[in-house]
Amino acid sequence: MVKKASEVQFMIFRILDKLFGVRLAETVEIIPPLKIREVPLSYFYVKGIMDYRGDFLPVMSLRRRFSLDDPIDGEKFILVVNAGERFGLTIDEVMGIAAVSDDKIEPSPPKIMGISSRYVSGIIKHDERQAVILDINMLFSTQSRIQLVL
Amino acid sequence: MAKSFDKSAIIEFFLIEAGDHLTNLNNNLLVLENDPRNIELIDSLFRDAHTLKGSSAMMGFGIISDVSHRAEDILESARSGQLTPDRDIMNFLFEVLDTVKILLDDISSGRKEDATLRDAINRKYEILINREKTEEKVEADDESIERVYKSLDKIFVEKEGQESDVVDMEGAFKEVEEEKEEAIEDVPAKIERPMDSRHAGRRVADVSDLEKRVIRVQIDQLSNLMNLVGELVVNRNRLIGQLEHVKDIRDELVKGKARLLKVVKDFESKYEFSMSPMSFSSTGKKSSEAKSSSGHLESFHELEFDRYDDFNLLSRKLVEITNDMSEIMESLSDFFNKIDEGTLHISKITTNLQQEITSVRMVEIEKLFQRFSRLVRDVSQSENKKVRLEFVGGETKIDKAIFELISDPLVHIIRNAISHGIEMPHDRKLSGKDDTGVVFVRAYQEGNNVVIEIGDDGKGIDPDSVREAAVEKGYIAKSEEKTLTDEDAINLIFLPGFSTSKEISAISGRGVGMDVVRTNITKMNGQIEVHTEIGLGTKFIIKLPATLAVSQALIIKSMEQEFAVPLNLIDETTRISQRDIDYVAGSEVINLRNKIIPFIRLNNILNLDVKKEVSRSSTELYPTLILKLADKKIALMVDEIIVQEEIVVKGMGNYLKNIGLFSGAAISGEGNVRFIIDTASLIEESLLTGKKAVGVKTSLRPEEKASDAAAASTVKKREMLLEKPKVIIVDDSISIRKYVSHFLTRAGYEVEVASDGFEALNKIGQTKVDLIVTDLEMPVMHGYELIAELKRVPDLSKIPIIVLTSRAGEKHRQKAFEMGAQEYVVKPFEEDVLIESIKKLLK
Repeated sequence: MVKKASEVQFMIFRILDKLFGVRLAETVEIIPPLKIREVPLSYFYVKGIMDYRGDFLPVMSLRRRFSLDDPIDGEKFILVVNAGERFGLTIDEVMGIAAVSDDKIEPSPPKIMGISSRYVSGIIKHDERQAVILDINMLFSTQSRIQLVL
Repeated sequence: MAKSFDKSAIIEFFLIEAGDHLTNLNNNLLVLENDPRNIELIDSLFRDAHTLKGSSAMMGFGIISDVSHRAEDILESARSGQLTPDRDIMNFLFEVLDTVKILLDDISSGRKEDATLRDAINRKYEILINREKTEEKVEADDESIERVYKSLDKIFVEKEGQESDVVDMEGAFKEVEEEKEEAIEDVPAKIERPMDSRHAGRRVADVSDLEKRVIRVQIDQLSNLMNLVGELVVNRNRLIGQLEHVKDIRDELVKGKARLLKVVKDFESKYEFSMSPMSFSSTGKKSSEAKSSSGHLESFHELEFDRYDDFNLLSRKLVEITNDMSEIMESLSDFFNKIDEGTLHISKITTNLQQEITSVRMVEIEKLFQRFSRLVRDVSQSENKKVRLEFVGGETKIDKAIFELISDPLVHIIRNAISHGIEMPHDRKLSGKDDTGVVFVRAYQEGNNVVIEIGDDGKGIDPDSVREAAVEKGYIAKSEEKTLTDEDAINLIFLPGFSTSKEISAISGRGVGMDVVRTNITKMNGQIEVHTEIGLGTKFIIKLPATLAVSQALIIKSMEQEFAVPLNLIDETTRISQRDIDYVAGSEVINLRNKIIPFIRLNNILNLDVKKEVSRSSTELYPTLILKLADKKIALMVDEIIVQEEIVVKGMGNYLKNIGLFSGAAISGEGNVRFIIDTASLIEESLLTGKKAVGVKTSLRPEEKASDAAAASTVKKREMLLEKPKVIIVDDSISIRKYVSHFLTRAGYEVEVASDGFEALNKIGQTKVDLIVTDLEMPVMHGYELIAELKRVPDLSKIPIIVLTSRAGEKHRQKAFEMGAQEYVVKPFEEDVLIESIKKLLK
């Protein structure tokens, strides 16, 4: 396929039966979830941090973030993304790469699959199925502080 | 060529160079103040101002150049004796320095120079000049220099980008000029005019000599190196850890070899030859083989042969293989030893490398002291006090990173000392002191720490006025005022927002001080203490690690996770049992040498799943760290203290940095993440709340915020319900030990292992064991011997014993029961059978 100038590429991945996407330019690599250290007192959706080539990589469980389903055994891979810093997202499976022209990216309704549109930068079709494109910058910049309460 | 060089790199050099000149100017001015007629000093000041002017002009920073030009003019007049540096002149010169500093800061942060600053200096310069009677001459002189300078500027601007082979204009600026030499061929002669050529010549020579040996390195690059060394340290630790494991394996191997050899020897001695005709004829197939093979040896009598059947041959083979194996094990063992040696070597080199690189990052604290001279001068002047600054130990070396971080806190303390500590000259005389107050700064090395003491001989801190202010501001209750010891009262000054100062001055007294000072210091893994005596003075003692990148920490375990606790705030480690814990107003405390201190369970703070918590009996001692900040102490109970280790501290990144309990993380030798507990904030949080409940919950699970009474009873319940029985497995076979301990752990038991009776006895002596599973045949101490020993000791005789053996004979079974074993399980066995027996016996 010849890539047109107005096309955007997305990495499409699966969590349970749902498809999600992240702009390919924002992805770094996919790694196995090894030695993830749970972070006490952190957000419950932070699966932990891991040693990523000598630096720390915070890993977020998307299942928990979006209350998809709690048993997180199926989180087989970590998609490393670049949102200013490096972050990890747990995913079940990579489905492929989709190239979509700009005008085919639909805006998100206020809520899609129970996910607030503030974390969604658009909806695309991948293999006849709907894929939710995540705004990873938003995902990793909004958080409530958690501090010790004595 | 000249157009293409990287200007930003040159600017960086310029900034460093200009900074040096500023420091020199500042220091020399301070000396000049007390010795206004020192021509040599004025000379040196002049040269610095001149160089600064020239190099900034060359870099195109006209305003700095203009401003320093004014200083140069004044100094020129002073040098020629037309003008004596009095107070106004000194102040003007200091002001020029400050202005240049501001301008340099602007440049370094990428802003443009502020032209209004130049105007301000020019105005002051005019006033100063008009004040002087000798103004005519000075100004004439000044104008000529101005013209020269302007022509330089013009040439510089016009010819920028052209190549030239001009001689060195400023020796000190050589690095820059090598690339930056501009077409100003005819200018140097003129611009050097005011400079003493003898001095200039010597100066150039000095610098180039130095340059041959010295290279400036960016601190970032050093930090990178340091990080790499840090990694090396971690890897060394990992290697050592693995080596321990290898040694264990080797030991097993040696034991295994011994056992194998023994069995084979027995075997060999029994079956090497089959002399008995019974065995010979018992296997028909073999006898036929023997017959056929002896076909061509018919002339021998049957008895002249050692007769071998298959079994004998196999035995022989077995012996051979065993010997081979033994050889291999031997060389493996040797090899392990060699690796051991190699590791030791690498370990040594790593340590050396670490020390070397650390020492490169070290700077003499003297440089920091120099900044204070000016500070003391300014502050004392504005407060109308007479203060003398004394330094000791300027040669003490400290990590550059710490050097920068400690500067502000020290400035704050010195300001406080002058503004709050030192009395007005009049008051000092009244109390019989010299009217000039003394602020001293003393630095020295103490082990791995650098200690900086800052003190004054002022009026000291009055604990009563601290108490009063604390009550007034609501830090403590009125009722507490009396009970607070003086020492505790003084330490209240470290609370956020605390100030005893009645009025707010520009310099201090805003109350945004000592808590920030302490926070900054503890962030560097340092400590600060205060000692004060009314009427005699106050002294702050700051202890800092000599280096930041690698620090010492205690590795502890809580909730099955490892954490690192920086050593700097650990006062001691002790063991506390449930019995030692008292309740004061619903929160747990312990009595440590007659001092009641808050007791905190790390497990509770971490708020991990409570069910996972290892239970404790009321008599069992559990490891507790006594943490100390200033002289506040808290006790922090952990599950296990593992080891003291060097850790490489790393930030956790922005996303997770707000989690209050951790100051960072480190990666263990095995690649596991370990969080570093922020002990300082832990202590502060628990002390701020004073006598309130000590028990930390997160906002995530508010429903868990149970009352203290409920929490206490939960603890009790937990003890009763969740105490895991401890089973020790004694067997010389590592696979049996591994296998049994694996499935017993899974079944919910705590498992100890021992490879023979003797080791088992040692372990049983150390910890409480609920049940023993033992093999019979073992080296060193046999199973029967172990049972006999156990039965001799009253305390141990009640522990149930299960014999787990391959001896199926009834005789052994009888004997085991006679000696006092409760169960007898024969290998191979079913997991369920053993677990059932254990359950039955532990009921």
